[in-house]
Amino acid sequence: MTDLPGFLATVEIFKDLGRETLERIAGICEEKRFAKGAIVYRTGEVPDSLYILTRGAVSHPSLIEARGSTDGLVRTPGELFGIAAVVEEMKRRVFTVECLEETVACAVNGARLREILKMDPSTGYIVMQRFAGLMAKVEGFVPARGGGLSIRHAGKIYDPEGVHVVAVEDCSFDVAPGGLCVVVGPSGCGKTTLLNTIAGFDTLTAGEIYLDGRLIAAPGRDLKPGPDRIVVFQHGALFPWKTVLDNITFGPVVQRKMSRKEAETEARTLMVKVGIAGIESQYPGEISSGMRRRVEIVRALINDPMILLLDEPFRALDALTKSVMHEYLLELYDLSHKTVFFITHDLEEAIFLADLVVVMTTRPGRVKKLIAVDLPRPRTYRLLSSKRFLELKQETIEGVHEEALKAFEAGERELA
Amino acid sequence: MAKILTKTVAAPALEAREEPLVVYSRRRILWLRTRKALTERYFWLGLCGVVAFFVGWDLAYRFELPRMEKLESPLSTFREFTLPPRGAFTYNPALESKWGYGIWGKAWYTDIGMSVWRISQAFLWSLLGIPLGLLMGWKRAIRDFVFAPFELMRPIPPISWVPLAIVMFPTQEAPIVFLCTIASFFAVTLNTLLGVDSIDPVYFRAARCLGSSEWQIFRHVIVPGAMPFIFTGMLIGLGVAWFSLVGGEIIAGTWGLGYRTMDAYMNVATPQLLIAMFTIGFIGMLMGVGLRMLQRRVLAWKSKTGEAI
Repeated sequence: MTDLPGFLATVEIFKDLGRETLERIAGICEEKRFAKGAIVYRTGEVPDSLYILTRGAVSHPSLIEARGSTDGLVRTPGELFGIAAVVEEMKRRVFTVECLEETVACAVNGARLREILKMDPSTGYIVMQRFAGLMAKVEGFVPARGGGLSIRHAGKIYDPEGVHVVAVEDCSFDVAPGGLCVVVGPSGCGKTTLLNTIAGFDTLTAGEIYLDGRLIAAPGRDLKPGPDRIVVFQHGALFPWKTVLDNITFGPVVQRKMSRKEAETEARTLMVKVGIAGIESQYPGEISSGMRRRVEIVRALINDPMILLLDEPFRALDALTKSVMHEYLLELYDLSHKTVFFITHDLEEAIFLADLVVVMTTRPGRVKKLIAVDLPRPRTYRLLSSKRFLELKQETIEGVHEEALKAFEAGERELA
Repeated sequence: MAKILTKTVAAPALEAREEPLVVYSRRRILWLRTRKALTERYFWLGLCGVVAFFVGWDLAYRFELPRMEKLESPLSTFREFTLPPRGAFTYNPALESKWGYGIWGKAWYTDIGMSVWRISQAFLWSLLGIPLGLLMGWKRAIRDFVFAPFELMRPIPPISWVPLAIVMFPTQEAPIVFLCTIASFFAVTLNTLLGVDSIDPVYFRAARCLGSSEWQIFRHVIVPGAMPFIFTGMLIGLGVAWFSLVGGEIIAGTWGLGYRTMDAYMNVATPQLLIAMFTIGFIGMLMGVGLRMLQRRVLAWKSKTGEAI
């Protein structure tokens, strides 16, 4: 092809990339021809190259079979197939690709493409995220594996020495499997109490909570915490006496799900994938707080939980680290399909991350408002200035501000 | 010629940029550490402190300050300690020790040997307090059951166990070891218990969350979490074991550094008394240093992060 960089610029996913980067990508492009009926790759193969269609048509037969539609057809020049090669942690092809006619495609080595994108500081990472998001969509054809949370009339009354303190009252909402739910509210509104009951650290005094239809919390039942719902704690709870690697492998090893060796291999792969390789033998006290959070999230994910419970995990981080951690969490979320239950009192954080924002009232904690966030994924920091984001923020602020005022006044009364 | 032509020149590979791995020998590390210590202020201040102590003592003795005139001068104590006894080499009174209690005499070594042997036995016995303390911290029921009698026994000073110890143990050695054990045991147990209590509850929650059984919580959270306090307990335990060793030996011994202090007092042999005392101090210090070195190794997760231990 004569003007390869020009052609690449027309590819949807590469838009916004600079000429220089496009030229670099063009430099690693390799034109490949396939005969009609040839199989480019099969499900389960190790992905190496991304393909950009230049002529012809390919299909994902198994996908078409599964969904009974033509979604799996790739016939417009510039369309992509074989995205798995670019996404760092994908170790296998998801769907077989078969050529419907004689086909010409540009093969781009995934690992080298990643390197080139990383060299482009302004837009490279956005393109990387687009790839991750696209992959998540493709994988999404395989639906999230459960993790639906139903909270039904949950209530919790603390009663030390006969003084009733109603922490949570008649709280009901649902989180869809694979959904990201963020609970916001002023301090002391029972957010953490709710999380503790879901995690199994605390019992409810009314109502019940189900995870995929299984009762996990109800009054008078001694329901234990378990590795199907893992908490990432506010101030972090990495064992300071274990190295990073031992911390990560702790879950699978104590549950006897994997041997130590298997767990270590798995942990190393996960660490490479989230960009924290090389600190395996360090102690948590030796690494930065942002790193510690990442390690803790990896320690949770390695257990393959149904739901991830995060209790203001980024509260103690500075603003810059926090924004990096948000994008990092979203990236993991887009790829892992875990249900996430996130607590915060930072509204921007809430809207930026969530599918569903739950605004809670001050004591007693009730659900004041449920706000469905319809911002597109994958999300980047550009969203923060979009109109829809600001509208949603306004809506949330109205709900929360009133409660914050009430909480403040209640505090004043207590002091007086 | 052909050889030169075919010689391949290695391309500057990626690995070539890596820092060369520097490996120092143990001896070299020791030397580097020593050299560094010699340039540190704390080393010289410490040295000055020791010198000032002996100079002050000497001056106090020379100027016959009240109480101090009964003492011996550090210099004559040192002579007594280092010079051979009469008849060993010479008969020059200026070059011989009066009592023969020092590096040339057998008695000094026997005393050290006996005392260290007793302390070691007692210390090892008192380490039984570690599992006891851990169990007490782990299971509420065990704590409630043990704590009351424990608190009843603890305030009894080790010295007041002496008569009972002599009645209980008919041999000469056992009562002394028993006394030291009693003293050290309580310190070790209570500090271990305190260590378990000091563990942040969030670690228990995290461990439960990750699917640990009770036993795994004990092994992976309670034991390592309490370890800093266990070491504190052992250090304190070692100290109090020395207290009661001297007490025990004064009463029941025929050898040992504690016995020697009493013996020297009876014979009005002040240099001998001072030598025995300083020996106790020095060996106690050495044992403390050894324990701290072990601590630094076991608690690498603390010392590596720059936390004081």
